[in-house]
Amino acid sequence: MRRAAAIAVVLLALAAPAVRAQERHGRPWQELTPEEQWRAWENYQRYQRLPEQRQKELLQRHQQFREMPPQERERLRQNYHTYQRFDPRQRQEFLEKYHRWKGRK
Amino acid sequence: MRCQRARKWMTAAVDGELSPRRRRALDGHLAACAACRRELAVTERMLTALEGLPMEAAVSPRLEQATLRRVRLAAADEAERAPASRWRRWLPLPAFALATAAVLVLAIGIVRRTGEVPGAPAVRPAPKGDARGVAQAPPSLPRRFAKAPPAEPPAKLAEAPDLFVDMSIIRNLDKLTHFEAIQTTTLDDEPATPDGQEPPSNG
Amino acid sequence: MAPASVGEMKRPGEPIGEDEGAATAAETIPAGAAADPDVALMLRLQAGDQAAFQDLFQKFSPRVVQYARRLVGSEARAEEVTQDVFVQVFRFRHRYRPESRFSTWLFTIATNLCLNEIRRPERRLRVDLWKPRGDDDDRREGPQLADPAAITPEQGASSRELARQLEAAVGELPPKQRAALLLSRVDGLAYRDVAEALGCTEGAVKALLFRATQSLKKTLREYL
Repeated sequence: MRRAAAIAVVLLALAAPAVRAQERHGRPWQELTPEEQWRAWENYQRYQRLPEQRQKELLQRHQQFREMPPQERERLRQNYHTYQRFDPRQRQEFLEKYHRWKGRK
Repeated sequence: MRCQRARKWMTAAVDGELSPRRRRALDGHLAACAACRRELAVTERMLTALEGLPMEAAVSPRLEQATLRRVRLAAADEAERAPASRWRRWLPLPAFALATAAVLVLAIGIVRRTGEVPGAPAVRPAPKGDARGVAQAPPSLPRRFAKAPPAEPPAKLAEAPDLFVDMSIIRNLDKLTHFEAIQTTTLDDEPATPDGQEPPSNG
Repeated sequence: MAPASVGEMKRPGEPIGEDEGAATAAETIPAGAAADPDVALMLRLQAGDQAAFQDLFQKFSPRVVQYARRLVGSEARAEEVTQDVFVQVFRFRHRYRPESRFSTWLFTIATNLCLNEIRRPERRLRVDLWKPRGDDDDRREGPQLADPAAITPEQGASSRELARQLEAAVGELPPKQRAALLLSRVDGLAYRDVAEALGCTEGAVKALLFRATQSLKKTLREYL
């Protein structure tokens, strides 16, 4: 029993850095699906083209996103998928509403 | 603020390059001007679409080999015109004789600039990562015009791949966080302002 | 005699040709420039390192091909121009000064060669060159579009259609507006670098971009 507990402690200690790394950095590259890798690669190239200030802003927003509870992150993903299904008229309307809403804040 | 000025600032606004003061002024105008809201939404979509165009294209082995062949010829040409002491330093005599023959033979081909390499495939061979099934393109992506992700990603990408997977969400965090509130915002309680004309004064 | 194979170019350190300008270039490196990997590659090329040329080609040729394709309007011509660009990079390597970014210098060469290609008399008459590609276009030499399905896997059909129409509309812009737009919005060059590439002022670049974006919005309104 004591031996099993010791083994469990060792295994947890070994896993902890990996868990912390995952929390800190997200999934490693090799764990992305092929489609995710394509998307990440395309977005990385776009990111590289941005001015430094915008890159910094994106990193800050990424940090905010990562600090959100999982269900909140999932909600945002669902909202994005909803937006993706909009036709051009709906997208136009959404953006106009956004600018109206923002101006009133 | 007049619509004309607002429209001049729209690209900078989409790029996040307006000063805070100008941004506030623009937001104030947008709250009251339906035409400019429409215009900004159009500008935003267009600039986003432009940025989404692929920056790179796959380079065929034929193009690569043709270019390197021409550069090799140019180098041989320079070596030939160099003073005797210099080219002797770089090229031993037998090699120089062979290189001269190559220049003569290839000069005919270079005038035509065909760049053809018999038997060369039209598309660059798959990257090494394919062996592990890592750098595969989804079926919907023709590989001719999109460069495959590298098997070993650059450091920044490897550090935080999720940032780049979720980039579209992160770039639109504000919109997505307040999605429902935005959806319920109404647009039609002011008369539309004809393009280019000054909106009703709002101080 | 078989032409030199690609593999022969990869031996590190073997000089390609004369390196007269190498000493001069090395003496004038501004502080920090040598830390830029592209500048470092050019300095190595100037010093006679042929592997540096191959590295530059590998890194930048995909961008140059894509840029040339959109500016010139033909895949075959774009490949020829791309060859010309890199041959010029080699031939005039000693003219590169590290004060300016390599990508700016590269795209200056690319823009000049592309605009020359567009102005060639035999290319002056063109009709509907930027129509979306049909099934029979693959075998024809002629203007072809990059397939917008390659843009982003997550985008839906309407985004793909917008991208297709956008490529066509960009192709209809006057050449200088098209070049300014591609360099700035697609390749992400700063205004001052676009100005350098086009040989004009920053103010002129902003004016070109404003006209280009107004044209595109007008053309693409129904898709936006």
